[in-house]
Amino acid sequence: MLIDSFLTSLLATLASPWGLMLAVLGTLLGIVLGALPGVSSTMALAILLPLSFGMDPAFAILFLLCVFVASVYGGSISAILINIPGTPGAIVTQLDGHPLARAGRAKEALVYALIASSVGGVIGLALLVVTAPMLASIAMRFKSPEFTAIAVFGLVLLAYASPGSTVRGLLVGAVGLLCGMVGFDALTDVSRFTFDTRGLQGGIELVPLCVGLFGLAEVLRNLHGSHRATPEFDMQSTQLPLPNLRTIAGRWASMLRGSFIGAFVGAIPAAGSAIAVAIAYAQEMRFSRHPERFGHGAVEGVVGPEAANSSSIGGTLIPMMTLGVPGDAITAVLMGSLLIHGLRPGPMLFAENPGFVSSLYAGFFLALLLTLVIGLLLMRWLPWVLRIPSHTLLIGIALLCVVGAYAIRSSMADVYIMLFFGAVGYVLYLLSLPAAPLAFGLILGPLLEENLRRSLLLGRGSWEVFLHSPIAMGLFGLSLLAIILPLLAPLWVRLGNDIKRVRMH
Amino acid sequence: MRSFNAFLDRAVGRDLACGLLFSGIALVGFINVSGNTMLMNTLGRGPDPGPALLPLTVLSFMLLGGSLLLLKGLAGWALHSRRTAEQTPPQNNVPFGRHTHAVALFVSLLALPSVVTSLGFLPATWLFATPWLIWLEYRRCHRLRRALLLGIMTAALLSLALYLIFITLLGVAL
Repeated sequence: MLIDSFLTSLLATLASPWGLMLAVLGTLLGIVLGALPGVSSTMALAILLPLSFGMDPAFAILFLLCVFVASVYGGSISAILINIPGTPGAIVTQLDGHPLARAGRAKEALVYALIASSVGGVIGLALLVVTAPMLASIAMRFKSPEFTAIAVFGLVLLAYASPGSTVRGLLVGAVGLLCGMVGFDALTDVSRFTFDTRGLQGGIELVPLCVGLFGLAEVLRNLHGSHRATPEFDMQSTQLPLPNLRTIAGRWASMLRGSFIGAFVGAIPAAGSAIAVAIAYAQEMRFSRHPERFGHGAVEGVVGPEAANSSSIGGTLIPMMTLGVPGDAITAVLMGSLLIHGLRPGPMLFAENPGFVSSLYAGFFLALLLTLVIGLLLMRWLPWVLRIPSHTLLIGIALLCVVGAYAIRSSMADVYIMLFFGAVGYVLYLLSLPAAPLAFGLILGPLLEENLRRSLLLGRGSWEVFLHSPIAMGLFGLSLLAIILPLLAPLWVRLGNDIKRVRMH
Repeated sequence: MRSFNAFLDRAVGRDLACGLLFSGIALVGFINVSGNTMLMNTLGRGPDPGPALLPLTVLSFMLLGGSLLLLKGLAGWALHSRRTAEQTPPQNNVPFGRHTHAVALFVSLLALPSVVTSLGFLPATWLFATPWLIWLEYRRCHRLRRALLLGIMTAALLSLALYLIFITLLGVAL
């Protein structure tokens, strides 16, 4: 049944010239943008998001998935060739990828990264296909109190895993919650935080916020250093013949280890690819007979993390698809695309729109296939992308942000909202505050408020309704633990040190 | 301005700035909510807690968090000033110039929508991109003629590409 609908969706996409063209375009753009230093997968997705508005929802998600998957591989190109990770997930790839490139084995490293990415992606997809319907069927039994707790837990966990302290992450998330309340209340029609401005009466859309926060803010951040020349690299070493298949297949163990680590770590909300690749790298080092080679050009140091990086995509989609909680900043942007097309991710998506779920799986698979094919075909020319002057790209992205924000509803108010959040993103960067919780707050805010009020209505105004749900209480307990733990951890360490000192005396 | 950067680069300065930011947002929010009589009247009416409950809860949390950060920053500042009075002051080695490009780009982007409305999309985007690309190219290569030529051409290509994608292909009414 599942395989049938998956194959039907895949064949329908392959048979559509428009769909196939969009997928190829998305893959090309994803690889190029991912390869460019300073353009993360989140930024690539945010700036290309407005292009998908006019598309059919299935094509829009296909296009964006192709950008997402391809940009993850693209990030490894600059990590290997110029020692600058194109995306945060490629941060570990540079440790051994760049020494390989310096040793004249750049092509080998690029091929290993591409194959490992493809294998990892397929395993991540398999985990998504197997676990998502099961989790969704469990989540379908949840009622308002459980969903309230999920929203709180998601927000706390996402703030917990953001860089910087949990409290600061939570406070940024709170600003996001307030942004989600702007406009007219859906139940009572009372206005909130509109400041008598007509532009705010319709509320703050997720897309201009994401374009400003993850697109324009990054441009503002990188503009000052845009005059710096790209580090030189040996182009000759990228033009060598491909390594033979048997040598590549010999790395199967590293690929599988990395893939499973990435898929499971990615499925934890907020853990993200950066944590997955770090764990995969550490495991490869542990399993290696020559750990001393790591950092000096060990192939396993490229294969394992790249497989983990790609497989984490499938993992991050699990909480988004089943609970409506974004797994990380990239899935938050992806959620924006679904919401604009009237599709609310969550358990009901599986019941109400199973065809769309199958087309998402098919789109993901096609994105992996196209990344592999296009990556192999264009490997000789892809390093040229790194020669694009960064200032041209940044000005182009700034213009794209403005036009893209306008394209959402043909409204100048959205452009000003995007510009406002671009400035907010820059201020957050100056204050070393994480930007992603703001988007999480905007997504989870309406979910939290709607379910909190419905729960209290069900409980006739009594908060005891939450006490009757063990799942909700468990999630509230875990949320509290996630807030308290970082506050208590330094005290615990200090206490341990004091005890040690006393014992020594 | 140099001292502003050095201030933000220090943990104490960040605590103070974050505390002020979050407390400030919370105070503005409280003033807005309390001034909205229709919203405040929904509180405590029947089993539905109303649309004012969550904003007030979030704002209270934000005010508490912001105030704690502010207190932490003030305590750190007091300690820091006592220490620096005894030692030599730290070097402020972060130039303010790192923000000028960001501020200038932001201001020019703010003006762009009104220029698009009055001149049309293609001339407005070209007018926006050309000086920026000339300046940034000149900053990179220090050759004026090359910067002028490349800047004008690249800006024209960029504007045309965006026009073709958004206005011709996607039919955005600009």
